Amino acid sequence: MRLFLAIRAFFRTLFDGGFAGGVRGLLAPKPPEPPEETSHLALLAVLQREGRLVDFLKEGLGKCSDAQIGAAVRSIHAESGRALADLVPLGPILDAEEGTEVSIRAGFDPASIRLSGNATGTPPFRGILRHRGWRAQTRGIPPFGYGSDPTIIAPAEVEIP
Amino acid sequence: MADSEGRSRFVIGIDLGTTNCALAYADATADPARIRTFPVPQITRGGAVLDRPVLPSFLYLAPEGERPRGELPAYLRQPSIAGEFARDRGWEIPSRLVSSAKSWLCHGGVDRTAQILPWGAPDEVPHLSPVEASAAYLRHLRGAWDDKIARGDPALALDAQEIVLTVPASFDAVARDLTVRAAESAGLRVTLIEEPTAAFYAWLDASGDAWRDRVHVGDRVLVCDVGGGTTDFTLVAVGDDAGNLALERVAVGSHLLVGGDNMDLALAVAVRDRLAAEGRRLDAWQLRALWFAARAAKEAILSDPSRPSHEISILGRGRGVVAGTIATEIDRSLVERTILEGFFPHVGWDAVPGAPRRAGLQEVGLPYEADPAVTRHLAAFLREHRAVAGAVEPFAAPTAFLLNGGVFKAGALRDRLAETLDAWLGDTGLGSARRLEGTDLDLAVARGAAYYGLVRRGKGVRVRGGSARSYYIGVESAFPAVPGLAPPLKAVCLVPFGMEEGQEVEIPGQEFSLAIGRTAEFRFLSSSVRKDAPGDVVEDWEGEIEEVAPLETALEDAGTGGAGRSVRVRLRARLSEVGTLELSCVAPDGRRWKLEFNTRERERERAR
Repeated sequence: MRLFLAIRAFFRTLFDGGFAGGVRGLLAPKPPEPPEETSHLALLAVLQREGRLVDFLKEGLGKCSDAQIGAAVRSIHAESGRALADLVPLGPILDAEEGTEVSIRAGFDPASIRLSGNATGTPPFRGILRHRGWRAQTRGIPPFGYGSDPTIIAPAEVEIP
Repeated sequence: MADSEGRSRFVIGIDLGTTNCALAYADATADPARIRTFPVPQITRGGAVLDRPVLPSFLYLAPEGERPRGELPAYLRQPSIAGEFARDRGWEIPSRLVSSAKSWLCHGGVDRTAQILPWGAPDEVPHLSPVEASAAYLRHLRGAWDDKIARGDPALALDAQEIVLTVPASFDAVARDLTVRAAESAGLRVTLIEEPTAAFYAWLDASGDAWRDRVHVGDRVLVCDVGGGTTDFTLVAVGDDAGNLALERVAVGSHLLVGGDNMDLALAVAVRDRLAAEGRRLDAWQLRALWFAARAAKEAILSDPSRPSHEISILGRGRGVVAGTIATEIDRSLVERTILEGFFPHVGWDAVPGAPRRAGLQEVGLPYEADPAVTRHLAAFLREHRAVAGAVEPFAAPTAFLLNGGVFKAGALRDRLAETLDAWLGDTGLGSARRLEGTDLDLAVARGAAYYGLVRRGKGVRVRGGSARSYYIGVESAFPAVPGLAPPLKAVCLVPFGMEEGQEVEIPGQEFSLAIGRTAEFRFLSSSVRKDAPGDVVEDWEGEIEEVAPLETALEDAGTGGAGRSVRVRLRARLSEVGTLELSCVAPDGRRWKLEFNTRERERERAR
């Protein structure tokens, strides 16, 4: 009986502050749902379509000779590398030759520079650069413009003779 | 934001190419005004929307369900997708791919305004006319510009800017007019410029003030433009105009349907045949990959004389990408045999291009060249225009040359062309031709068109150009009636070779009898060889003058009720700024009839 329910709700809303808050929430317009996050799928789809990267990672290489793998990688590396550079431009965090001495000033960001070895005391530190690091130059990736289902990384291909 | 004289802020150059389109621009209010190229956002091979230096001139007519998604700007959500994705996806479904629209635009053998593309595709696929396809590329460029540069400011939108659009010098008036109409249907008003002139302007821009030291009065510069699918030759003369250097285009060759893509495909087919002989077969998809690999191999080997070979690998088609990979090498001898000897053979200046195919019946399609040898076509071009050199030499000997088109990224091809020219010049006791360099081979035409936009605002050096052909109208001779024999047609020159756009000439001397009030046929003719003056009458014109397109129309006559009569008129011809021909017939009482020679399409053949 909805009528009985409505009357009960009316009186409790009137006299019960906590209950009234709940009703207010129920009556307020719903906030829009955040857009579905699919950019990781788009990234994968582009790397597959341009460079066949997913095919490569999913293939069992047990029976392939090193020469065969080498020949395939030449193409996959070039094409995927180009696509990656287009989608996620990357730059080094420390722009110096690996193996040379660098100095790390006080107040450095420990998330972007990871120290190892004898890292005690207070900065500045002097050390050998072992890896320059990578930083994405953009946060998002360019829009993906083809097809409507983001879960399709590569369509099945059928050739009609 | 317009300048104080109400002119647009930007000048734009658009290269509407057979295989690639490019857009360059300059902020005319800046000093100095620098020319930049506009990277064109497009759906790429992998499906992402990315900027690319050029927009490949391909349209994929996507079926429902394959159309781009909703959150993109409108110009990318078209049912016909332009650019890199179209080129790649269309390869898999040729019946939904529109390509080479520009070659169809200048192909007089078909109705160019009819919806004929994709050529030979089944009826259930939507069809476009070559004009509509060209408009689609321009619409894409317009949308991209408005999205990235104008950003909602109508004064900066592409349709509010001054636009210079390039056409091959060999385009006839019909093809030029159709190009203008394509621009109009994309909402753009354009001025046309010829591609070799644009390439030369790009060289002027790239050279800065140094150009005066590198070309001199009396020079004849050969512009050799080998694009993806087409080749054009032009000669530009450097003259003296009141103490300044003046440049004038003096000879234009025909539009040859052979280009860089033919070369890459020839190499790919040679490799495919070698693999087939070894028992390794490629499917169509792999041949496509081989085609791209062949281009890379061509550029690598022909740019580096010490490189003996180039390794390529063609990936497996299905999930076995590694197991199915075919690896091979393209070695120098194959590239030299296929590209250098096939397309740029050492030939004499008297070489004749191979005769066209002789089969009695031929498939209707684009008139591809029977002979792929660029050097042989060049020899024929220079011989045909020997009159330019004053008939002293057996061919029009250039003193300098400018190369254009991505093909010439390969150093060996640049060198081969230079050697060939030098050998010809040596035969006739002339010195070698200077090489003019420094332009971007892919983008020079668009940049040069933008430079011309600046020239029109009084910045930079101007090349005098004008009509690439002489135009004539056919006049029926007064001739006794003979059954079965049509009265002979005389060609009366209307527009001389080299007449500048915007000029009007009165045809001197003669009066003509004009049929009005009834349907009559007007026959326009043109020549790229003859140099007649306006009013010159040519009686025997077979072989040197060709008929362009007849125009059938009824000129209005207020006087009689449709019976038709003749009036005596004098003729005036005007070449409009967009390079089309207008013929005015003026009666002694001042009445005027205007024939706009612009199209084959009946309803547009208006007479006023």
